[in-house]
Amino acid sequence: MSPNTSAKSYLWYGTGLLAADVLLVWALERIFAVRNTHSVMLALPFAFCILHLVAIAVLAVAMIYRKAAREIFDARARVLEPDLQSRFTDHAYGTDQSAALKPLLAKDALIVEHSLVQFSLLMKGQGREHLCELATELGFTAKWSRECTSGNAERRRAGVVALSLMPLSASRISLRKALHDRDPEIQVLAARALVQSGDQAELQDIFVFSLSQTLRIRACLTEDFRRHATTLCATVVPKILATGDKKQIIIMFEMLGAWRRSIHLEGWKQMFDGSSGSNRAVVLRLLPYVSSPDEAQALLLGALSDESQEVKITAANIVSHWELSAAVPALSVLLADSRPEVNRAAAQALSRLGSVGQQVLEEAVLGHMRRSGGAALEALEYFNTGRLVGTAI
Amino acid sequence: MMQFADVSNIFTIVEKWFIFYVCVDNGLQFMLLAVGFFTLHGKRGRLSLPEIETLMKSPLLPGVSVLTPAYNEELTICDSVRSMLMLRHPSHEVIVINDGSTDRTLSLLTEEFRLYRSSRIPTGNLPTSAIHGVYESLDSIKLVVIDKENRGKADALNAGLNHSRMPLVGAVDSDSLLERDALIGVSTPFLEDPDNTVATGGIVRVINGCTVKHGLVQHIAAPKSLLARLQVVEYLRASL
Repeated sequence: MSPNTSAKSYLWYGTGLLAADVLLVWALERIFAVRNTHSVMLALPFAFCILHLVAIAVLAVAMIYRKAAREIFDARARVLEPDLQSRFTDHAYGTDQSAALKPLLAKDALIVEHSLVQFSLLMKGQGREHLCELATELGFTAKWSRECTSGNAERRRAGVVALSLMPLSASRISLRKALHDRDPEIQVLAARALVQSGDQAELQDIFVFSLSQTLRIRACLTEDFRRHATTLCATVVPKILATGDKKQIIIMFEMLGAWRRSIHLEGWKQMFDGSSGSNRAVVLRLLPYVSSPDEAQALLLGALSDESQEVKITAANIVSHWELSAAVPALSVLLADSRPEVNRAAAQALSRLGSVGQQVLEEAVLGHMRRSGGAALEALEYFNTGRLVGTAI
Repeated sequence: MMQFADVSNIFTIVEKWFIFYVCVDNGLQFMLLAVGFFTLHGKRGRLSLPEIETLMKSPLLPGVSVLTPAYNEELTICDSVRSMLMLRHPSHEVIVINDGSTDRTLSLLTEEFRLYRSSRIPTGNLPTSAIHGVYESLDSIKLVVIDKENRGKADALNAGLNHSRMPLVGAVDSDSLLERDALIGVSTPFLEDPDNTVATGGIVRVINGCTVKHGLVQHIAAPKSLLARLQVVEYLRASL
């Protein structure tokens, strides 16, 4: 749920509660308070106090009940868990335990379910498959699918986590619905479950789906996609590039860059031409992962004299990363740029280009030029003290 | 001339308005309490531990500069800075602005974090009072200390903004401690809706009575003195 949607729903929720509160106070005053107080003026505060004391008491009892119920559940679970775990182990190794577990469902279904989910998380391969069959036989799979559509976010979350352990054939429909949940964490859990299922079609679909989602979801899924980088670059990435949808392609490039691993990608250069400054910078950030220094040198040197500040800074950072000494003249020009971020990036890059670059910086310091001298001194100091500069590609 | 009955009527009207005001004010407070009760349950899991772990690895998470103006804070400054350096975030820097302290704030920081006078240049040009020096640590920690003339918190924050190098900036009092995942928590709205998010904030709680070790809250407890307890209630009420 976006913050705006969330704020709107709370506003409606709050207004509804306030309206109900006012109505109840008014009704209580008319029906009860006026008859039981001698003063008409006291009737309203009397009704107000009675109603709110009762409401606060109900909320307090609900809280205490919730806590007590949780403690009773935990205590009972501690008693049952050793036996349940040994039964799950036997079942995972092929001895059917469903008949022995079914009688427990009448009273302790939640504990059995919770233990089964926790135990399944530890298992892999055939053992996990046996436990999934057990979950279906005990009726948990159907319950988890129902929970995925619950109004309670915690229940939906638990349902998705449990279903992510199941084979895709049993969980696909519910997980696909959960992709559009209003809770971003549930969306991530469902997407991750589908990616980890190993199904290639699902992997590609989720990759495309993630491109239209918020940065929070994309950031969470980037790591999951990283493991499938080669597959994705061979299948769905070229398809997205072919669509020509600039917004989607730039978001995709941001994700590919965040993988920080070499990939085979063709057609990325087209996105550099004719894009805005910030988009060109995104494309450029991908350069170290899709190209070699020899291939990209001309583009990089051109980018150092680009009109966009962001492109210049990104190019300077890549030059520094590749230690391209051919860029020294262009960086010397940038060192005198009027924008402090640009001459700082140029100075940091020059400090990493060996003696030629450092000589340029020393001259800038000795030349007492306020702008370039300060950036040059900072870069030399950071280089000599071996400190991190704080600029990433 | 005003009769007794007129005065009495005025008092009655004032009394009625007063009762009405109390009822409306308490009604609103109750509404907030009820909304909080029902929504807190769903909110608790907004950023779960696995999600924080995943976000910690992601290069897409924007960096944060934590700006901490300090004026005569020798008693708490080292603990506070240590706590801010230990915050969980993949790329954050701490910028302490010593706003012309007359006590040992700067010397304590210099000793504790092995500061040296750095050549770090400002990248912003907001107006500030004279900067005496910028210091960084010889250790591999991202700490910057700006020593400047005293001209109040706003001016100190301007100096910090000029030296910050991260896309997001947070201002924290130097006598405050943050929860370890606080930075990721406050960055989340920028990840969800960057176009409509200008600023975010958190809940302030009173630390009196809690056990703090190495800049981290180890045990949460209510303060012993009645006055401090009332202060806790006031803070909680303010955050409703």
